[in-house]
Amino acid sequence: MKHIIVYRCQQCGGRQKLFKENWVREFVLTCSGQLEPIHILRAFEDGEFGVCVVHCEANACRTLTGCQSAIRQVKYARQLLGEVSIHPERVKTICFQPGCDLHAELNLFLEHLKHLDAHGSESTPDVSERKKT
Amino acid sequence: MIVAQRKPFEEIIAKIEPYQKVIVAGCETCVAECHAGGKKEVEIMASQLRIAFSRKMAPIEITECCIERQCEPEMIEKCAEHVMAQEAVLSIACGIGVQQMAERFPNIPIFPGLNTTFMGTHAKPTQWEERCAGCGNCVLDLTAGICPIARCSKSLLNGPCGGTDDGKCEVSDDIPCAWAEIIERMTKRGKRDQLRQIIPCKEWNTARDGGTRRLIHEEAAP
Repeated sequence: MKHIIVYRCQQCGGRQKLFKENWVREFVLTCSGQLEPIHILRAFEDGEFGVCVVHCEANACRTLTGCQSAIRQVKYARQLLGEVSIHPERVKTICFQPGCDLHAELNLFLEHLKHLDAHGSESTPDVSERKKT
Repeated sequence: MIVAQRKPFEEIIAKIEPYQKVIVAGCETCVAECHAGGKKEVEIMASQLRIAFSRKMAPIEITECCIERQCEPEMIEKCAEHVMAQEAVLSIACGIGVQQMAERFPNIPIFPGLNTTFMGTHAKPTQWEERCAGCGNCVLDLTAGICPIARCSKSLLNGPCGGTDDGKCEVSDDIPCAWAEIIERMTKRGKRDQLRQIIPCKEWNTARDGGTRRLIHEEAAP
């Protein structure tokens, strides 16, 4: 089953997992600034549906620049995905604000991904073997 | 450090497409510093290749390795066994690393994944700039530590030329005039008068124009 991979800063909704849906795999980070492009690429390498990164507002980031770093890394990852013909909109960022309904946002993202699957020229890849020395 | 940048992805794909077992080999030294060929870039390149080939339904096995210094034969040796099991190598080191790999593994095709660009420094957080042209005859003591060969668009030894404008080069507003910087630094040091001495023509036979250069250190013999 394909999943949406959520990378979420713990300041955006707490340390406990928020999503119980079986189509979501959630990773809680101490700061969204820990995210690197390879984390996003590997999700697609494993055949996942899309990636969602939840980060703080710029003035609320406890590491000051973590959310800006996350935004830059997502931008770079989108460029890398474009090179392998994966639609950049398969990676979404959500800037968490008080009152933000993450479940609603994620459902909207799921609908968008389904739309991309139905109308886009690309589809998510098959799982391939990853080897490392 | 040696600064390099990644080749276009389509070019890389086209080169390794005929092979079924490919290793992406990075280098942990210069090209890692300029975010072109270190461990992270090896992971990214390998991941992109796996995604690209799985979308093409092409059977290919991509493996990864990162050598501490790909320009050193002893360090290449550490992954020799693994490399020899491959059909091709995509080296994302500088041109020296690629050639060293090709010399060590003459029967395996080695493809460069980077374009080696220049010898330079990390000038700003997101920017690398050329600092040395490797001319083999250094004059930095005469020019306040600013290289006119690498940093002046005309490589003038006695500048600036008439194309300098408010500290910028006529080639582009993005390029600072090296000679304006030299004069500014010498003025701050109170040594501006030294620039009245004409720097004589360089002996260019130490530069690249004389063919492949060699350096011999007899004392380094084992």
